Amino acid sequence: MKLKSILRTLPYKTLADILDFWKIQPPTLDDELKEKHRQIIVADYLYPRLQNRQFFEGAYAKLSEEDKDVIFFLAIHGGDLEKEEVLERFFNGDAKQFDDIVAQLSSKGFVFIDDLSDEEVGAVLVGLPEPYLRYIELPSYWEGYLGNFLKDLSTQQLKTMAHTGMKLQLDSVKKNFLLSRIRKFLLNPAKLKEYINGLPANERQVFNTLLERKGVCVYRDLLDVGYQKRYDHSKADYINNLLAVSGLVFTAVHKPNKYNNLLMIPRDIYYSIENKFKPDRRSLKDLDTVSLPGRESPPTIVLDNSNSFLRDIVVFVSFINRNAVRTLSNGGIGKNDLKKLLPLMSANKTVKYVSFIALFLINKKFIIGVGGQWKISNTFIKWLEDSQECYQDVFQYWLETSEWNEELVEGNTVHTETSPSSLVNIPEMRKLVLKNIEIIPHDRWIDFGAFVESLLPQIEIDIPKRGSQLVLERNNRPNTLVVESVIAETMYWLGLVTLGPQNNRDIGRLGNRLSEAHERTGKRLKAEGSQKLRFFFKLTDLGSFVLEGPYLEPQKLFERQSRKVITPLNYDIREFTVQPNLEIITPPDLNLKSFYHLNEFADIKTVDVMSTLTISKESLREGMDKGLRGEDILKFLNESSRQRLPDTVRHLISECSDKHGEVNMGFAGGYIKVDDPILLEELKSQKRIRAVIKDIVDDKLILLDPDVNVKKLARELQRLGFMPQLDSEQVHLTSEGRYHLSLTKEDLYYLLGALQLILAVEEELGTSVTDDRVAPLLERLKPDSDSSYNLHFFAETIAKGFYKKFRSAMKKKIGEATTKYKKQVSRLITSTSPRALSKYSFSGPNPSKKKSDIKNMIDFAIDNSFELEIKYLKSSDEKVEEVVEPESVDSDKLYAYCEKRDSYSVYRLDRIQQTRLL
Amino acid sequence: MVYKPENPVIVQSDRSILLETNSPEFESARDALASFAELIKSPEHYHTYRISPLSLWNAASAGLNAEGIIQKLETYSKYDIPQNILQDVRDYVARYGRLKMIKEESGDLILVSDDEFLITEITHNRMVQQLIEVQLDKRRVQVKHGMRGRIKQALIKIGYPVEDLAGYIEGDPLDLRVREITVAERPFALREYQRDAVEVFYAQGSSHGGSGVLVLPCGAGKTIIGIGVMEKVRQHTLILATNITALRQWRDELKDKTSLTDKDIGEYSGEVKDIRPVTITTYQILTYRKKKDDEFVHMELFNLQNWGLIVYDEVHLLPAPVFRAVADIQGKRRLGLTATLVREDGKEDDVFSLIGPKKYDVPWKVLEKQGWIAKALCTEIRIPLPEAKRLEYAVADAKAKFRIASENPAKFTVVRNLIEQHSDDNILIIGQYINQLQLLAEQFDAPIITGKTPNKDRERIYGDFKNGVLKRLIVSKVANFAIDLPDANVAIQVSGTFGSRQEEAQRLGRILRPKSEGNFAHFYSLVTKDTKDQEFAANRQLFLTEQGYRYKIIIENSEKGDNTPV
Repeated sequence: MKLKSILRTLPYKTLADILDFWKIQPPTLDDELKEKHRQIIVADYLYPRLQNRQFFEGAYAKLSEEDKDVIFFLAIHGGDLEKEEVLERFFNGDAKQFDDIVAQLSSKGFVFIDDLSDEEVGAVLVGLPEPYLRYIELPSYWEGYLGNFLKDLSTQQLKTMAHTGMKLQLDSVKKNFLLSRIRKFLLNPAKLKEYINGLPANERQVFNTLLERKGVCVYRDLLDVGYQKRYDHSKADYINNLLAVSGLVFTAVHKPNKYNNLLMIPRDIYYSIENKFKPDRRSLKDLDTVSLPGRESPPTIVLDNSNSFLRDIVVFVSFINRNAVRTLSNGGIGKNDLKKLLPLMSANKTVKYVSFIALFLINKKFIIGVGGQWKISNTFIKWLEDSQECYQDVFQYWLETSEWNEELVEGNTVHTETSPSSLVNIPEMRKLVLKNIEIIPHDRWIDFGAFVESLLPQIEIDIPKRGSQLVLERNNRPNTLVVESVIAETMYWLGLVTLGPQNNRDIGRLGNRLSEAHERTGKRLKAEGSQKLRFFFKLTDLGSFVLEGPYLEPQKLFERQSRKVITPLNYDIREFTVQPNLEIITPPDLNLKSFYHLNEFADIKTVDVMSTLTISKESLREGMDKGLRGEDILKFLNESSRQRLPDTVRHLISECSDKHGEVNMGFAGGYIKVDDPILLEELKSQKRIRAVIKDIVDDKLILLDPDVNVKKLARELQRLGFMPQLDSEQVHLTSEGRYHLSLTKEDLYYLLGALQLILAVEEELGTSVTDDRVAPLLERLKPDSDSSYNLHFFAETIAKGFYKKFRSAMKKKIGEATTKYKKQVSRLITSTSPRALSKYSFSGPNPSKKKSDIKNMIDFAIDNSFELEIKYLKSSDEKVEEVVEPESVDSDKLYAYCEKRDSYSVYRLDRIQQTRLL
Repeated sequence: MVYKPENPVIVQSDRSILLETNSPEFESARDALASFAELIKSPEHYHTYRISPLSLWNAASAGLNAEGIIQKLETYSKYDIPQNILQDVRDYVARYGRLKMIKEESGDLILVSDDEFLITEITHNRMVQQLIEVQLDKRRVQVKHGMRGRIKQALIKIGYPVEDLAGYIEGDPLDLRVREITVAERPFALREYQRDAVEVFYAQGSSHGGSGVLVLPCGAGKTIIGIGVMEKVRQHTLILATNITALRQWRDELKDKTSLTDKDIGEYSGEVKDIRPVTITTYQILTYRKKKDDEFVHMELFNLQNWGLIVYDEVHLLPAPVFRAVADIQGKRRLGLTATLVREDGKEDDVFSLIGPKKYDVPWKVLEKQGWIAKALCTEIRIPLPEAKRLEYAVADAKAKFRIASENPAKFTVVRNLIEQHSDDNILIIGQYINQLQLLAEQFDAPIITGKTPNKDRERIYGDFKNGVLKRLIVSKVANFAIDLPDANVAIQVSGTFGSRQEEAQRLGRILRPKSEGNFAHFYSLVTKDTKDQEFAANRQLFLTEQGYRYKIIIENSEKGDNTPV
């Protein structure tokens, strides 16, 4: 409705109330003025002031939640609605409540009744003045209703629509009237249906395409894509017609290039169509599809990281400090090391979380790779001083970085092979998400699925993927999952949102999947797994604080005091409790520097609301190895402990610091050992040696530094006149210029053997075969020389050894060959000479009593023509012994020649009790 | 985030609850927590409690509801209560009372529930199925004869505690009255909290009472409460005690404070097998068998008389095999007495389902005020090993090392000093190595009690010690936990350990009684510095501090031989 005209219809009392509520200074009025004139003056006086943003926001902030709901409801639908509709949909038919509340809101200057019944029967509208709609920001899921679109059109456009498109007969041409009439028409399901069916065919087709796209589509996508990816522009006419005249399609988002405009079927029309032309009677709560539907109870599992994030960072760094963590060749931290950190982190965290923290710390150079290991930089401890600044830094890092990209399943783009160039413009994505969360009331649980759906169109337009659409690699994930990562991972980690997953299994899966249906293996899951993970989220106090502030300028986040919320992250407590059972219990807001310091010599047990650490001998030792002193630890604990330090703790620390250093271990290089302490002194005084002394033991042993080249040093000592004996060194020069050889026994033998050979050859040939340099050696080694070596002995030994080896090799070789041939030969022999085998060749027992052995023996006898003595049980049960020559076996009978009887007989095998080879 | 700094309770998302001791609200918070959480450890500044399904079911059976519990938490909580805890409380408390067991006139046992889905769920569980006779309708199920205990066990294991309202089979009557003047001619009456406990347990004889556990810290007079219950029930009673000394204590108390005489009370033990209207036996006897696979011969005791009441003393020590027998006698009234519900073997749910829920917690304040909590100061005295022994120690093997450390001769001086310091007190000296103890006995002119000492001698000596005739007593720990120790106000441990951590702390709690109100009992642990002795002492240190004892450490100076604290 028009503000000016409505103001003029209001009684003076109401105007006075408005002045009061909005805290606007009333105009000075002449007392003599009549009421009627006074009224007009004040109305006109109010007119510009009510449109002033400051006044508006001041008054708006004073409204109750219920008041605001009414305003939202009206704003969603364009600002003006018929009274009946509001009565039904919002007040459930309660006319008294309607009257009361609307009257109240009128006195507060927000909602008014515009009675047009003299122009048309029954037209009573209730609504918001047009200018207000500018100041009321609707969350994205409340945008896009018919009334809202209509309000942006001019009166002329509305008139055209009403007359040309819908063929309505209208009496008034007031804008709000037109709007309301058009709405009434289009939202009447019967009329709507008829209207759509009455559309020209081509327009109808375009409209249907839009319907298929859930009512939201980019302009160009409605144009046919021709064979060679060329757009069919004929459709454009139909589209434009729909836009201009039909009232069924509107432009939701305008872009410089109209083909990028986002077109939309108004939500209530879409709802009506989708629900088989049911009238849209939804109340405000039902229209809120994003925050928790009233019927459902709040999530039972609630995850909130706002108090743990900074502490986790401290724990991470102290872990690096106390353990030797190697750097990877690509500059990152190995997954196994990250996994080791997981139990020390706050609950319900994944390796990805640790990886994110690692990336941040590396980026800030708080941890640096030195000599293949990660070390802490001093800047880290200084940084911990101000926890709020710490948070600002991390938040800023996250907001701006592309090193971490929520599009990747792994997140980390630096230490992987994926190049970031083809990924989504992630900082922009994050900002878009933040912006859209900001405008939703902060105390609501939001259904992620519905939320992200309302974002998708925006994303399509505002954040195209970088690079060509055709180059979507395996790692690219759909936008829903990217947003899921942003909210369920990074924003949750940063403590900006609380998550409400449906069950515990989902906790690690949120944001961590490659696609809705595929897990990392790429296999399709069963139907249940392919459903989206449903979860809710809500802003934490911290998140609310951040989003109320200038979050796009992170360094200013904490510069102001929030009106509503206690400024979070005031980690300024410096006291904790030391228990006699060696536990240390710290409050959640313990100063981070103190917390870090504790971690240097105590082990984390749990990080929950409080953190619990334990001191042990091992943890103290690790701390002292890094340079902490017992007295410093005691001092720190004494200062920070709320009560007197327990005896048990004090004594443990003093004991450890006493013991620390009793036993020293380390690495040394070579050594110099002498018999004479004076000699040692002399050596010590040598500059060359002094430079490399690690330690001296008992005046007789010098331990050298690990990297000393012992051989080189030995040679230098020689030059200086010392005569070091280097063990395992094989050749050295004596002071007389001779070579001193150290050979192993075997080497010596071989040398001598070789020489012996040479001698023998020379003797054989009668000439020398070596040159002069070897002559003296040979001379010494000749058998009749008076040297102490008996060459013969050595040669013989060598020769014997050689022969022995030769023989065994031969034997082995021959043996193998023999065995092979033996077998062949025996086969040959058997086949040619019947009696080549003896009875001893039979492998079974002799005599044989078992059936199988008997059978074998019989076969053997047949094959080799042996005689058998058999013990046989005749059919008369008489036992006999006979000597037979087996001829053949037929099933269960033996056919054999009995010499005694000089005849062949048949014997039943199962009656043969024993056989014996003769 | 909510933050109320004066509040002492911190509820954590892992179900642990920290209680700050130096807050003004500490005591009322403690009483509130005890009603639905278990005390896990109590070192000086923060006590740790834990909420578990069992602790919540115990609370529910005592009449608390979820909102009541949550309100208590919110009243005392310093920070916001984690959401999952609120959910857990509501969830678990809701489960209690959904399943009830009743007895029909026919004598059949019926499980009823208003929740049809619940009945469906439990009937589909394999373990439970076997114990069901037949399903009567959607809400009622008949339990197989004799499976009353088993089905309760099975159901609690799947998360559904049963409210057993099936009543009891009355035992043979017994005329028992509590005396107003004891046989020893002293006035006697139950204290108020003892009467409360008895009332709550007995519940006027209805099926709402009659089975359950009373949690009373050491020194709160469990025996007296047991007697109070027996007076209400007035039926033949079987009492199970932890060992023979406890058995004798029960008998003595019964004879002293009730109308029962020798002919009414029977002892069933290793030495005697006397069954009478009131029979007292030990867990040991019940679980005795010759070989590993034999039957428990004495378990039949449960069926040999028509008992009306069975008393389980120190029910947290009830050996696992006895549970089976308990499962079979669910028709009798059952009273469990204990200082803690926490068991080392984790069978707390069996205690709940077979003996009954916790019926009563004595408020700490009451006990403290009356001086019945043993207040003990623990001091660890670290004594260096003489130079001469150090080499011997260094080269010895592990077992020998322990002995050398324990038998450190320098300990004698310390013992002497302590005896002089506590010349007026009852001193108990405890050790592991007989030789050392004998030397001590000679030096300090005190009798020794070992595992081999015959019972009657032991009782005589204990008696003298109790009466103050004997001021010093030396006891060996060799025979495991079987030996019970008399009360003392000073205990000096020269070597050895007591056994499991809980055992040890319990023992200390029992033996150390301050001489009078306002005084402390003293426990000295003599430990050889820098040896295995000290390593074991570290463990003891840990659990003693966790039990809440104050712990001091003194280092003996080897040259001077005095005990100046460092």
